[in-house]
Amino acid sequence: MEKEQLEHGLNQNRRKFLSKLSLGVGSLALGSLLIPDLFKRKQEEDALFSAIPHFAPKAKRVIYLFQNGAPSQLETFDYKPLLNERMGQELPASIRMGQRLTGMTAGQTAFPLVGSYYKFNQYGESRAWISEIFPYTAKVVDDICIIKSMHTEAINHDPALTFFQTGAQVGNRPSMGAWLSYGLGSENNNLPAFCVLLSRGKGNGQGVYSKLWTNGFLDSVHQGVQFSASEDPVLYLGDPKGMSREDRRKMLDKLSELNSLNYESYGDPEIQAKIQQYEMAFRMQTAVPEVTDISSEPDSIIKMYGPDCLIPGTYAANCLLARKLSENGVRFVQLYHQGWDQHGNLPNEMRGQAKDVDQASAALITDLKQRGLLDETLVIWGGEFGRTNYCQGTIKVDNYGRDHHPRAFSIWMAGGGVKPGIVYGETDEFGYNIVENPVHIHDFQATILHLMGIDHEKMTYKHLGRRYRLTDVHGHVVKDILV
Amino acid sequence: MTENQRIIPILENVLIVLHGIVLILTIGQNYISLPVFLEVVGRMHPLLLHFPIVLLFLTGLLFWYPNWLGIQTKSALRFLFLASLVLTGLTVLAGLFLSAEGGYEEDLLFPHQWTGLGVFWTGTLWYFFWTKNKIQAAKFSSLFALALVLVAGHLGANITHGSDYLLAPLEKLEEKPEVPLEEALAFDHVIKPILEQKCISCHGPNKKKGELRLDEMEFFLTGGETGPALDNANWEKSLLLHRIFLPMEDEEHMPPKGKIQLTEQEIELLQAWVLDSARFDKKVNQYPQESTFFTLAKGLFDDKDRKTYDFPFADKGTIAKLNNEYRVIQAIYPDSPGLRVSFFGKSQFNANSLDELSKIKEQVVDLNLQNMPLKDADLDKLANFPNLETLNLNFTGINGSGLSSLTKLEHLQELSLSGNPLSEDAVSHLGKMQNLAELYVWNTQLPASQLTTLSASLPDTRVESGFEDDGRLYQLNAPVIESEKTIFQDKVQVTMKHPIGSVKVFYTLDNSTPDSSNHIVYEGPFFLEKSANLKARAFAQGWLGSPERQTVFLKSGIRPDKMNLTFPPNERYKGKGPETLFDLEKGDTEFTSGNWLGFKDTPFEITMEFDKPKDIENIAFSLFSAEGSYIFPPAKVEIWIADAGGNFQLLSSESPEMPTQIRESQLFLKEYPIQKSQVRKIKARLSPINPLPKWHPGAGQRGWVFVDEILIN
Repeated sequence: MEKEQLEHGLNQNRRKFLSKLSLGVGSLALGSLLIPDLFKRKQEEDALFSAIPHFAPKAKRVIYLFQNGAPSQLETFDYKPLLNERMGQELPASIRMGQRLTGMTAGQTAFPLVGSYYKFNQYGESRAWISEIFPYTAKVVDDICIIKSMHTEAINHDPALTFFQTGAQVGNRPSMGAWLSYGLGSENNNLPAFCVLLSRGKGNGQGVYSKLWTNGFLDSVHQGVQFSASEDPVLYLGDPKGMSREDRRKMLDKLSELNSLNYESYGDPEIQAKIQQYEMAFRMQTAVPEVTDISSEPDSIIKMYGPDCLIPGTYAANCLLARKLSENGVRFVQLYHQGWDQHGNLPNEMRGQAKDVDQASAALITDLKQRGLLDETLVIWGGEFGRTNYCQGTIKVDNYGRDHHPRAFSIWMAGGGVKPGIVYGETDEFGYNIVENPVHIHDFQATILHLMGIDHEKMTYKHLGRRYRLTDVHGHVVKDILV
Repeated sequence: MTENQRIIPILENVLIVLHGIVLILTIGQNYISLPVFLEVVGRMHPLLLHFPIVLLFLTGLLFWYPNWLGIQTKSALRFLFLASLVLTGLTVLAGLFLSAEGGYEEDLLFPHQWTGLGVFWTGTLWYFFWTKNKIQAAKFSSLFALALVLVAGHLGANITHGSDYLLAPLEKLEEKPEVPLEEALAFDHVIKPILEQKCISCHGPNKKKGELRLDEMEFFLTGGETGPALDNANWEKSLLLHRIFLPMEDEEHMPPKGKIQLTEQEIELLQAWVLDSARFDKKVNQYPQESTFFTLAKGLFDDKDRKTYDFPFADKGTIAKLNNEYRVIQAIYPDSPGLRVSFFGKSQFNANSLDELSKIKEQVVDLNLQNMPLKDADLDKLANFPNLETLNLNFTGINGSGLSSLTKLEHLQELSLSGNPLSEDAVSHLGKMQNLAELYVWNTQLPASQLTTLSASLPDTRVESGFEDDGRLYQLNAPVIESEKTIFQDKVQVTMKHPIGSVKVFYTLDNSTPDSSNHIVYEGPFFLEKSANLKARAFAQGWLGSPERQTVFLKSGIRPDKMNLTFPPNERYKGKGPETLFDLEKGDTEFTSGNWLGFKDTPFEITMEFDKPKDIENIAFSLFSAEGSYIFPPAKVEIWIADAGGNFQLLSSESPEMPTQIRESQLFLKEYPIQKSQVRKIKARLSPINPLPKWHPGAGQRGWVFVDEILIN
């Protein structure tokens, strides 16, 4: 080691120094021309008055209730009586327009239209149509904005999910929550900025993988932290047996002294980052139990979310936990509820799935509202694509299935600067194509960033020689749904 | 030297020729028409002009300070003089060609042209005096020429970039007075700012490319060379839109390639405005609410719609010092002096930390204290933040008697008091806060009558009382039973938990269902010393009792001295062989864990032998079923015993009831009485189901039997 350092010193002579210097100055100058911000102060140094957010944010936090597997829009929010009238008739080619199909129905010789097994009714001042399996959501309809004209590019679960979360169908890009963590940081330095909660319904499920909450090429502090249903919601956070909190403190103090010495001699900012991460984990040891404790919640909260919220790992429990994390300053809480992939047995399975999520989703809206937090928290409910208006497999009135359909589907958003009580976009009578106000995934992402005060075209990260954005090179803010 | 001597006369001659041409052009400007190819030369003017500027100043430098480079420069200076003058001449010539092309505002062009000519002429005089050694005259003309270079350069830049270009960055800092949305005009406040940024530098009063001006209403219809910008017979065909929507590669695309382009939103706004008959006098809010123009234009005003504050920015250093892990101070949005302070971590909270904020008390407009333990007396401290607009006091434990302090806060708009046990005092204090826009009082224990009073006394406030219990009774969820083991040797500790604090857990140990008449109240962890079938339920006021939770606790008994499996278990589920059955480790629903033995093609058949004959009461098999994974209860259970003689006798044979559908996977126990003394051997056979019933997806195939433990008592 010593010898190496000595030789390293000897290898510097005047010629080398000068040639390096000229190259260095030249490339600095060039670099500053190409990247005008090169010599500006680093963003972290000036977080308080930094350039992000780009403008006054409407929402401070996001809770994303992802319905994994893709719930059918035709049994939730997109009411199409024509499908019931034409039950069993063939899907007209003029409507399908050569749309590609998945391998699951490509082999079907017929595409019989199938109408919703469930009844629809109109609710609230917006008179929005909502299926009978969402009675609680129907009660908060005037607080939500239903978008019936979402469309995506992917036709299978994994690419569609990845597309929704990262803006690209292939993996390795940062997830939306990671981008927001990168852009806005955490509000509460004792908790991660991006938390992930998983639950599973009884319906046909599709996997979720940690790549969906990846930091991609961003720094690993922006990665989503998964909270589990077990006694230790955050893994590896507890002290090992026999180590007291005081011991831990002493250990960290010594470690930080050593790290600081190292920092003084090398000046690598990663060392400082490491020290801070250890400190944050230490603070999380008290912050996490405080946040996840539901024994202090009033009874009426339990009744509102439904008693399922007392069973860790259920969707209802996750909704309640999401509210608790969010009110404690977690920037992005991502839920995934699995089991919405109804290729068959749809009337039976969807009722169960809806029962799992309906009450708690609506309760989350009410709960945020009664605390005065809904206007600064954006809540999103929806899956990765829609489902076909024709039947997959054998068709019966009370038993049918629907295949994947990327061309049109419904989601809802609430709070955080989104117009409440409106229905945006429209599909044709067959519920197959969008006829009004299409919203692409990138538009949806641009809108979320806009609500958080970020210009989606300006928040970029340079990686492998090009700048990346959540919205790639696309996306328009859907101004019509903003307050 | 010789080369220099040769080139000097050449340059001098060129200079004379240039003077001649320039003179002719200047005089005959309005009488001569130029061939088209000279326009190309003319357009090189913006390129050429850089040379004389640099060279003339260099010449000036060496003229005034000949020894500046420390070498003899006289002959070099002469060359420099001539080079800069020739280039000045060429630039002037090109400029004259360019001006002949037209399209420039006379008022701007005239001074530039004449100062430019002035540079050329005075520069030449300067050279002349210098060569004749008339130093005073040379010095004087040098100052004159160099000053003219600056003036001509600046005037020229004004033509190219617009006359406010140079100082524009400074002017930006001065905030222009902005109109609110209600008063904004569609053209003046939405469209014109876009044109000013992207179009008017070429199509304005200074520079009328293609004879088009876009700065005033009347010019839109007069238009330019190719026609009016707006077509009032057919708005869609308006040239203004046509040019914008041409592809980037098209020559006629506007703004031209290389200039700053219109953004997507600006294009949409322009389009929406033109299609709506390009109204100059219409107000923004006269457009329908749903129209594209209104929604887009409204967005522009929203962004400007930020609150402005009279108070100064807080010192950054002070803010940085006050910021810590549990008290986060942030600007409410970029460039706003207003601050938001949030407290986190109730175990770390101390109300005195509010006093530390006194240095930024003016700037704090948003204070978030939710979940922090506060006393009513602490609310006094909040009155020190005069500009507070948003205050979150949810679940802080106050009773509201201290809310009177908050009546001093004139700017308070949003107050959240949810989750605090408010007294009647609170209602009267709150009634005085007439400026409140939003008040949150959910879960404050205020009776409905008080809430009505409150709403009545605050007519302009949205009073949000939140979720109301509709009196519907919900069923509690079952308590959780925890213990280290369910099979134990001497004793085992049992703990029961329920997430709701007010819940009582009732339990029984005798297989009866706990209810109000028949239970033991759980008061803390206890020990079991005997086998027991523990059943527990949770009860609480205002709830239906929970379903029962059951756990079977087994005290292990006799361990056989020898055991032998007739058929080995399936390769995939072979555990640690027959040992697995007596290791007192209960398997869980993870049936691949190695705690389970699985059998499909052969029955589970075990022979257990005791060295000394034993008195045996019963035998129990701990089993697993998960029909979805083809694991069923055994189709048949047969038990044989052998006494000292060693001959097996069939003791019992049972065919347990089979499920009729796929159930959740479950652990269960099958217990069989034996009641025999002097037993030497026991043989048991549990046969897997074969074939699987018709309703099952795997109908016709073989099913599985899973065993993890055998208990003999």
